[in-house]
Amino acid sequence: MPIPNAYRETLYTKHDRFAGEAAWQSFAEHACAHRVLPDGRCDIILRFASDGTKPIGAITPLITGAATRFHIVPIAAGTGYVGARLRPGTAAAVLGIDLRAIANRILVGDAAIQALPALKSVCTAASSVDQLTDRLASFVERRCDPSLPDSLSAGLIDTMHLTGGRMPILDIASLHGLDVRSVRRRMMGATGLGPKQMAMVIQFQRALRLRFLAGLDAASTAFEAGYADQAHMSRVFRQMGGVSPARLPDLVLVGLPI
Amino acid sequence: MKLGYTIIYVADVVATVEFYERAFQLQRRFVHDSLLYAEMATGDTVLAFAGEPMAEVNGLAIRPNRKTEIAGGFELALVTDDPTAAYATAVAAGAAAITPPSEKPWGQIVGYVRDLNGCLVEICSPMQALV
Repeated sequence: MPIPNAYRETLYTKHDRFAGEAAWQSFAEHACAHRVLPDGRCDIILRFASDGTKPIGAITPLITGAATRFHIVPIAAGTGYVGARLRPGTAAAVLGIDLRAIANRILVGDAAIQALPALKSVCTAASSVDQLTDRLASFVERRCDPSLPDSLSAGLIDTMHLTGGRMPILDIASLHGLDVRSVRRRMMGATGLGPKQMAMVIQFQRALRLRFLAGLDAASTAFEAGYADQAHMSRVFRQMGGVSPARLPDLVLVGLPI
Repeated sequence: MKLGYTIIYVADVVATVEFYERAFQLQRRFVHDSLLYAEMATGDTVLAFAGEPMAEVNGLAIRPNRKTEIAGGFELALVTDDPTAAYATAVAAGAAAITPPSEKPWGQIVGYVRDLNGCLVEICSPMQALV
């Protein structure tokens, strides 16, 4: 699968020191429009002009809330990014923001600093992109609360991933000894998304991987991913991804953490 | 094709390995450093346990094995010369008693327990002994 310009990502397991899910870097040598797919996660991103190895000039912070649909980012030539993707359930502590308020939103520049003033310290000059990456990783590490999410909320998120977003919320609730209202409250607090929204995002991500990474045919993908039929899957792909199951677009699929 | 592996997705691989050592007297072959995969020494067909995060990595969506839920539609059948003693050992180690060993019309002695993850384990005498 072609990766537009240069995108690199380092995944971290739960045993690693890094409290985030992944650290990523991206550099656009040429102007492009990048399609960002919903993955149910929040990111802290630093954007800057770059020669490919170091930031040049001001660094702009961005905070992305959990999304349920795609968006297109126009990128000017010579733009670099450094990002920290936060493990679902950890963003509330790291960001100190009500995650529901930033769902499907991106806070840019001053708006990001206003929401999270401590971010300003990360946006000072850096001698290299790697240095900036380390600085962002340390920032996330310092702000992480190891007791959050609580094990029950973490368990809910894990079960959603395990079942590919296919298990009815009532069954997930019952599995964890909760009622549906409690599940809803916990998921909203931990991720900014409702359980049904999160399930749909996870189901979509799985279908993308089956179709475009594993190369499974569209009919089998729709069936195994748990869509009513191919037409249903096509609608979801269009709505959430702006893509069609028929044709492989230029996509960057984020890595799956263990 | 040969049946190479039976792989059960479990919440805690190490706890499952230790349980199978205590409850069923099986030996471990190895536990991977990641603690997300382990194999028991069961001869040609390997009994293995994979951590649940591995399911998503493998592109799979599965129903979790939980002792509080209805058992998944499969069983592991362990064969022993003394199913009665083996059943007692398993239950003493924490396996959930389902059906104490009893003699079937064809002479085999069969009992059922569920393991710590709720998976059905049959404990039975060998069929060859009847011939």
